[in-house]
Amino acid sequence: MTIDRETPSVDTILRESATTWRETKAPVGIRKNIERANRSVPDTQGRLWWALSAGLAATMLVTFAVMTSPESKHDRPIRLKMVSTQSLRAPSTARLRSPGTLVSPSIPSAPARPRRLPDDDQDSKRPALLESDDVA
Amino acid sequence: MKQDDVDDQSLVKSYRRGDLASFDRLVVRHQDRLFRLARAWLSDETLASDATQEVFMRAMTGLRKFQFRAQPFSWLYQTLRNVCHEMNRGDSPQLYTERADSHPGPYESTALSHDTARMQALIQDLPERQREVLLLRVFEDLDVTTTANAMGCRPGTVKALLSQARQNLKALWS
Repeated sequence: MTIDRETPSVDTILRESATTWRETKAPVGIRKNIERANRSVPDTQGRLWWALSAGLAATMLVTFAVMTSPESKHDRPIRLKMVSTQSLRAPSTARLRSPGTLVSPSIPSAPARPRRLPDDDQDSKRPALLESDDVA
Repeated sequence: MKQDDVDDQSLVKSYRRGDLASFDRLVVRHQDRLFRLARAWLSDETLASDATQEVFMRAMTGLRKFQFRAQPFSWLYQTLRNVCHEMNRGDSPQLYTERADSHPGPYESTALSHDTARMQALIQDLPERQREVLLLRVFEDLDVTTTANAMGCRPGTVKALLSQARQNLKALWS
């Protein structure tokens, strides 16, 4: 008798409790905060993609501009200046064919080409070159 | 579970395509349920509000990578469980019970009948999984499949746990 009376009451009370439970609502502030945050969250993947694309495009533009710009030739005298110093130290292996053009020591130069200076002048200048090397 | 024509998966797909309003609809659809569950587990309205907010904050980024292997609600529910665990600073779901014992519980703001208050106390004494099934299946009125997906078990397990919970409640009641 006791079990028969109490068994349905448990289910009834559970139903009543569930009804009361479902009446509880979340605070309004939650939705507002989430909406606000949702609008301010950056699309990191999209922004990363755009940043990479922009960076790649900028790099390509700069590279293209440098390669096609006539100012890029101004870099050569700096290199030639350094190499021309070596050519002074080893005039037999590397020498300037013309201003701005270097004949590499690895490339055999034409040996038959006569020097511009006469033999006398060359002999007289060589000690001076050596002196300048010593000083340096 | 559905409150309008569009299901959760469609809303998540729309959100992934950039429709922020779809995410708002997800929030409106699930915030009350998640808040109630958080309130039951944390036994604190403010903490429950924070936990619910945190779940949706994580969903903003998490649902962008959603693989649709589960229902979005299952993802939200599991995230809520994790958040509540973190807020309780422990890994054991039993902590929910310990805190709940010291507070009136999810009905604290409502006027309770003596029977309802007693039933609430008995529910807190149930094993964790049985209590979880009771909350989802009876209190939230979710179907068996949704409950099983949310809990990460099979529908048969849900039915068995619910049956055990009812038997335990009846035994405790008498």
